[in-house]
Amino acid sequence: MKKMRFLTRVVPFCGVFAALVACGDMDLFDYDEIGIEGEMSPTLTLPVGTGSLTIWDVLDSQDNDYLFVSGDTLVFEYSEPGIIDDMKVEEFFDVNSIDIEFETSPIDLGEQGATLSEKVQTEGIWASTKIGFTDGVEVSELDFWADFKLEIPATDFEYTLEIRVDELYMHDGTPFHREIVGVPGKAYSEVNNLEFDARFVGEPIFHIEYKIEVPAGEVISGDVHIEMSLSNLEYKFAVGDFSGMEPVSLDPGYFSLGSVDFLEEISGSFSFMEPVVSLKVRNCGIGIPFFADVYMQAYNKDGKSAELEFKDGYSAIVPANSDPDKVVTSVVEFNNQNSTIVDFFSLPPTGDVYYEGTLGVVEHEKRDTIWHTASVGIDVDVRVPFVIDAEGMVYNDTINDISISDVEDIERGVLKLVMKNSIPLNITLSAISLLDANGTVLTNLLPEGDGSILAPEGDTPAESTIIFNLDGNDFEQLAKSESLLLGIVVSTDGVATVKSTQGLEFMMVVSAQADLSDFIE
Amino acid sequence: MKMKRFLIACVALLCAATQLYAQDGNNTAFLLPNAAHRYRMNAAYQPEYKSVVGIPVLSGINFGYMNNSFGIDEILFKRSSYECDSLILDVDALRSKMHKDFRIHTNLDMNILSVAFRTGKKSYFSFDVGVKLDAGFGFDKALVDFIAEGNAPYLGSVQSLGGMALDASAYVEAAFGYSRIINDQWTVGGRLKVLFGALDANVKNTQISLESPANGESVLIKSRQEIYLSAPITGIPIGTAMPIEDFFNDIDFDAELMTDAMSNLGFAVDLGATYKFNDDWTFGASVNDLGFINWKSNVYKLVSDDEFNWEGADLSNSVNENDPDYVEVDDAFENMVDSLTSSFTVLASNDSYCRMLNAKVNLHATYHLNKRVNFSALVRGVAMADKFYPSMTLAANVRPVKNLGLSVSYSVYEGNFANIGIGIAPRFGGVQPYLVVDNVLAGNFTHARSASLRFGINFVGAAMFGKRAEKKGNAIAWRAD
Repeated sequence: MKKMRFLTRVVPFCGVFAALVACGDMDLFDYDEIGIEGEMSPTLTLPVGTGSLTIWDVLDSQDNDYLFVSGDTLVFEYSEPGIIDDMKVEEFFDVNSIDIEFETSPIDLGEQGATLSEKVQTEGIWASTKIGFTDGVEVSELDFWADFKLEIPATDFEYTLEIRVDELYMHDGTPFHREIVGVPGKAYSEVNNLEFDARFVGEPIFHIEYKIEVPAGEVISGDVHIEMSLSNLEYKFAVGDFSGMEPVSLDPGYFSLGSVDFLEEISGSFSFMEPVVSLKVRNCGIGIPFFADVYMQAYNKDGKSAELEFKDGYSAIVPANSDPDKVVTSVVEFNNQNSTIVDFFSLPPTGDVYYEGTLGVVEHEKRDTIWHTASVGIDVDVRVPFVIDAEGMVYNDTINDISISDVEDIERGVLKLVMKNSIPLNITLSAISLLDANGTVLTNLLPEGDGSILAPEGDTPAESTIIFNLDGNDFEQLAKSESLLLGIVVSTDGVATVKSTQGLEFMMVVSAQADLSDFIE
Repeated sequence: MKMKRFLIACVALLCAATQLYAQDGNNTAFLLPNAAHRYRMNAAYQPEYKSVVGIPVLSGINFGYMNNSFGIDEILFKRSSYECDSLILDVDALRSKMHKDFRIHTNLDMNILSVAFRTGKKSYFSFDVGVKLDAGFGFDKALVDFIAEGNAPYLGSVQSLGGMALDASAYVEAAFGYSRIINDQWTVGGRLKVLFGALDANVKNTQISLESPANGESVLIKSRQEIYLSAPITGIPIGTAMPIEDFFNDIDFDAELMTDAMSNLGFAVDLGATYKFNDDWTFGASVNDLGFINWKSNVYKLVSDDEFNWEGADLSNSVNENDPDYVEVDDAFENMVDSLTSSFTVLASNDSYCRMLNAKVNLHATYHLNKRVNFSALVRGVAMADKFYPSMTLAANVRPVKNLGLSVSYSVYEGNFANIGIGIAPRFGGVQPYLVVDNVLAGNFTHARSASLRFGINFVGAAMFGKRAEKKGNAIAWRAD
């Protein structure tokens, strides 16, 4: 009986223990490899980026040195110095480099061998070699340096010789004059490099007037020989009528717009309305007003060409500069009034711009001066204010060095761009192309609707929203992409001036649904 | 008729329990007949033995676990072997089963020393020393919903992610108890407890929310947390609000500071009363752990109340590389994250604080079918972290022989109706071991939402229904009670 009592107490107690024997599955605590099943695809809507960008921010970022802000207007400026680099005066005006010999003959003084009872006097005129100038030029004054030589061999008698050259003046303005007293047995020789001033009426010929006198008591034993010349002539300046001079061709050549990224990246139908190409003509010592007739031709990236030239009847005059020590820069301007420049920049031109042209003397009454040291050079300035009239200007902007990670698991999403536009342009973000490292398009993200960003009404920015619906493949390609190519089409309501301070306030909101299973595994 | 009323009352209580919460695993133990340890749970309870002496450390060990939402195997399953993953988390099941206020709670009580004895016919004294550890953690289901759904469904509104729940404390309890039989109907008792806090952590005023306008152009993140700590740690910067990411850099554990725990003094009382309506019905009410600990040593109050309006990275200066103020895109995003992290700060102070214990209220009724069998109902509630967590248990208690008490119980917690508990308390001479579980199904521990285990061994003195008691005139009739 006691045994039974004991059992009735112990057995249930053991039963309770038995009931507590663990029977759970320990594998459910092995979290080394755990996966997810069920709906674990949260959709997160977050603003990822905000900001305000001016048009200047966008364009200035393109690593070129040609965009500037002038006042508050955005301007593309490019300069090409020395498309004509200091063209020397010899290329269009010169003095023949011949020596000027005077046609002198022995001067016959009369009977020889007899003692003169009274003085003997002889006089005459000789003409010089004609000085040669560039065709069509009539020089009335020539200032020059030359080796002057006057030699008279020795005679046995005394004489007095006076020489004048009507057209020749010394540097100090005094007429050329020599009075020589011949000493028997002694020759006369004068060799000097002198500066002269020649003044011509009519042809450029010097006339020597000589007068020789032998005093009484002398015995004439021979002729008197006069040898006079001006050699190694180097003119300093010339004054005259240059209007008959033929126009001078400028050496053709090219200057490059190839490094201007912005022009490379726009295409389509648009016009820059106020572009200006300025030829900065550096005139040093050309005291002649002349016209510059320059022609340019350029191609766009599609091979289409356009010419830049003045409209018929327009002549660009470069004023004279008679100061040889001063460079006067005059500007010859191609603008929308006098040339085909609007069409030219509507190409838009890229790469090399071909140029050629002529410089010609403007006919006028005044006599002009040209200096031997004169030169002319031409620089080109291109200035394109962002005053545009666009129906469909296509602008492709590339955003490089994109590094987007951890988006492979996003199944779908929405990229919403909310923008407040103060740029007076109707902008359409037509597509965002995802590019790999080689520039190959991985995929194109297309907006819902037409992707338009409205132009502001007056000073009030216009708010627009662009929505891109992205699927899993888009996110996959986004993770692989190295750069983004934004396809932007711009149009204007009439002519619009883009100011540097105008821009976009933007907000990027991403709403993405991701499969988080992999993050947890 | 009486039985019918009792059953109706039980059904009504079961229905009410649809919003009940899990407990600390003492429900069945509270009702286990003739178990000496019950005086620790009901201050009015007088064991039928003249004395009770607990075996040091082993006299009472109580472990409880509660998850108010799911068992492990309800959200995890194994995939067939040819699949690459061995274990699958069923998110849909997780979300469907997770309670709005998800909580996990564990507790561990251990009696170190227990002595109880009767004096005279009416009085019972007790003295116990024990260690108690409670730890609760939880968060709002909205946090999981956020991970699963994101914030998109909530644009244009405030998305509350709730708050984080942390409620943990460890302390030593010394309890002096006295129970007295007032008359044939009333028995009352009380236990005065002196508490020595060792560790404490709890979070108050916690709230995290996201607020986005309908167009998603910003996300206003608000976070408010108030954390009270008493722990042997060093390196907490005091008096200066610091970003969260920097705040915890220098924190270190210092065991020597544990000696300061005696400064965390607290007091509590257990109060109880039973009313014997008639020979068939007995009613009782008790409250346990009504008290507080004044945490004074190694205390820290951490306050974080910040918000950050996430508007995305400012890319205004990230386009034009020629701009002197240019900021790379990566840096712009890094700046944004830096702003976010630096916006959420923690300000620490050494403010002492007083914290109430998790008081429990017990209401019970017992119907005695005969001397061997009774049926009991217990409604318990625990006040925890400013909330009240009730539960309900029905038990059939059997005492087939004098020295054996058995209980079979059924408990209801919120969303958890399958809790079958059992308890046994045999007596072998002067030794009474006992073992109680509130949920035997927790043997399948991967399926259990709650589990409890209370066991121990007490030395018990002579029972009050023996011949010796009859000679002394204070004998009581034995029955399941």
